[in-house]
Amino acid sequence: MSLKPIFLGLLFSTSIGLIAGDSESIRDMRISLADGPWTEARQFQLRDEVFTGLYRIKGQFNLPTELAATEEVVLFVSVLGSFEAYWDGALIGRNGKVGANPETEVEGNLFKILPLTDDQAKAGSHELELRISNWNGAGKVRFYGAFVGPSDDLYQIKRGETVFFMSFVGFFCAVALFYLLFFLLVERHEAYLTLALLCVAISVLLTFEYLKFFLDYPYSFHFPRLQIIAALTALSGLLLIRFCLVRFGGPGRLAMICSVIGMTYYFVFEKGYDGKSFGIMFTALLVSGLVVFLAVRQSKKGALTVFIPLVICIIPSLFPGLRFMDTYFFLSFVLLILVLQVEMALHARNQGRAMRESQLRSVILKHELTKKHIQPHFILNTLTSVVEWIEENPLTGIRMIEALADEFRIFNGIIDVGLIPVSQELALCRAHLEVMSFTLDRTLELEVADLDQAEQIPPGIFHTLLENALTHGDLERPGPILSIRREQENHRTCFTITNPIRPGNGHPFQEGTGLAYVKARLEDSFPDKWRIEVGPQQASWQVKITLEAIRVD
Amino acid sequence: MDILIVEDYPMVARRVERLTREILGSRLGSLKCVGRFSEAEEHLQRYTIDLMLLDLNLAGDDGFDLLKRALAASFQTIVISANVDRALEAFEYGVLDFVAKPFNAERLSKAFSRLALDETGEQTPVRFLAVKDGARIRLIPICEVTFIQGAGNYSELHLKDGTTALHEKNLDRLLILLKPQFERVHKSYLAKLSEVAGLQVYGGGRYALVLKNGETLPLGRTRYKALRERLG
Repeated sequence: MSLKPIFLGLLFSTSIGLIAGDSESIRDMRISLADGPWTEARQFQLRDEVFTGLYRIKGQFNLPTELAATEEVVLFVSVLGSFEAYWDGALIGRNGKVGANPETEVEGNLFKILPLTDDQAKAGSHELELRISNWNGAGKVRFYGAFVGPSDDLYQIKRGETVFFMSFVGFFCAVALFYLLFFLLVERHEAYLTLALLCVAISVLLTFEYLKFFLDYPYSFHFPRLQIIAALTALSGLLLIRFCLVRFGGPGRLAMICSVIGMTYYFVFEKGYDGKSFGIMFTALLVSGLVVFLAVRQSKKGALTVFIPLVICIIPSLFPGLRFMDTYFFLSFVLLILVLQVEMALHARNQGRAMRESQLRSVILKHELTKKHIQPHFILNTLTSVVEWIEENPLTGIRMIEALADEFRIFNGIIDVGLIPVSQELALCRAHLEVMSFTLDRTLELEVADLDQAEQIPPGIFHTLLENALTHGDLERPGPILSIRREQENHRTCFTITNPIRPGNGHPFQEGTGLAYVKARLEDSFPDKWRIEVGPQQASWQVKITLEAIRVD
Repeated sequence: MDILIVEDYPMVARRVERLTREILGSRLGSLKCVGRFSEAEEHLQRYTIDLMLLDLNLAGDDGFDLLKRALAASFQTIVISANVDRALEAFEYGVLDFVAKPFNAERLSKAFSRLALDETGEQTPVRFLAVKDGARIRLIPICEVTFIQGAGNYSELHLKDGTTALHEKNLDRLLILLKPQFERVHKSYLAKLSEVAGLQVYGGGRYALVLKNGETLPLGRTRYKALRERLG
């Protein structure tokens, strides 16, 4: 982990030397940075070297007069090891206790601040020598830098970074809590849970990223911390991809395999942990971007709204100069989460609206069904027929009243139900035919074939088609007034309902209120899973209703 | 009296037919019963009738179009329907009566009694007269009519804009529908009382009716006195 490249009047050595062990001879490991500009020479590491033990580094400083004039001057050192610091040859402080072997070393922290006296901080040339032991460093030799500067400035950096951290963690925690509660209390949709987990992961990632600014941890924890950061980055990335998949669909398995391969590649082949974490997040952003891009191509709702901030996240990662992982990444993620929140809110609003519409439609349909049975044309003509039967043949009149009572009883049982068994619908049809046979004074017959009596259908479907057949059909023709046939092909159920029509009566009820009711009922019960075909078939009128994969609950 | 029944429910039709026979008895000439309006039209092309008993599903506008066609014809129309909510409107177009289902002999008998001139019930005044205009039906608002002149079996409606329109009903049948807004002033004339300006008496028992637009209508001697009383 690098230190912030913010120079706040702190000074750094113009040259550093490294000596293994306590001998005076400078080995091959010596690195001379004397010629480079100091900003580039602020740290070094021996990547390919594994060295555990005691070593020393030495550098020359040139302190300007302005620094010497400031009130309190401190030396800040970050090195992966315990050390003793010698300023112009004199011991000025320790970080842990340097040991000649693992047993004698007392582990120091990753960062150490040592105060300098006015004498030590006066203008001119100085020399800093560090005697370091890294028995707990797993063979890694890392010198992250040494600064000399006013103590106020150092604390200023800490404060700034802490504010940044606090506000971001606060934001992500709030969003996480919101979606967690939304998931638990409002709608158990995986997208909400994934978004909550994503925000939790990012909060934890932020905490580990910024841990160095508010916790002086021992140097041996430094690499485990970087590994945790890489792992949390991978987790966040995978959750982001998962969210995009849950929200927009797409080739889920392929996306996950690609991201795991990409992340593993970066983790194995990138040298530094910065590079590893960056590569992992870059992979995740790229895969998420592709998933959402596919959704945009398929013009899925809300896809573009998510795609734009994703691109905004990806673009800065292409510029290596930006401090992507510790600042820019979180900033662009805030934007992404904000947009997702807006998008989810709109999504929830649309869902709510659709639900209200569907509830309203159900009420309207119930109302329609009721209206059908109390419509004056049917009721009053039936009653007139009853009156005539009573005067003409009282016994028949009584039978007709009983038939009417039967129909009302059955009807009352289905009015409030969304789905009823076929048997109940057929009972309603037969009761209606019985009543109508008295009104029309003729025998009326219903023919059914291969019906599954227990199958669930919306109420009033066959009944409506029967009414249409009675109103528009040819009652003079011998045979059934209505035939209902059921066929099953794979996952489809098909009802074919036919009734005789008079020759030349081409489209007797093509788009009447009856058919509109049937369609509305089907859509209400089986949204997008039904089809209806209506048309003449020889001397009959045929209505073919196809239902896909009816679920009988 | 020749009657045509239009009713699609056989049992209801049977009731209308049975009660009609009972009520009219020997006054009934022919009686035909059909299920649909199209069948009724076929019948009307061949035969003349005096009265149509029409079952109309007046819930939609189609029913009213059929009704207007019936009302433009020479015969009187009694509607027998389940849809009472538009009964007032039917009266405004000139139905003789509107019988709501279910009905009994008494109610039907009352409807038939309106066929006679002297029976003026308290019913909604007619606001339109349906007139055949080629294949179409034209609705003439009553307020546009100044007076009506008999023309054989037809009647000629004289309108405020100076034009005339021919109605297939004779003066007697129109008067039944238009009373008390209109009154017979002469064997060939119906006057609209609101259009009358005054009465003119000529010598030798000759009278005339002066309309607000300046036109005069012949006034029968026997009708002069009654009219003078009515106009005050």
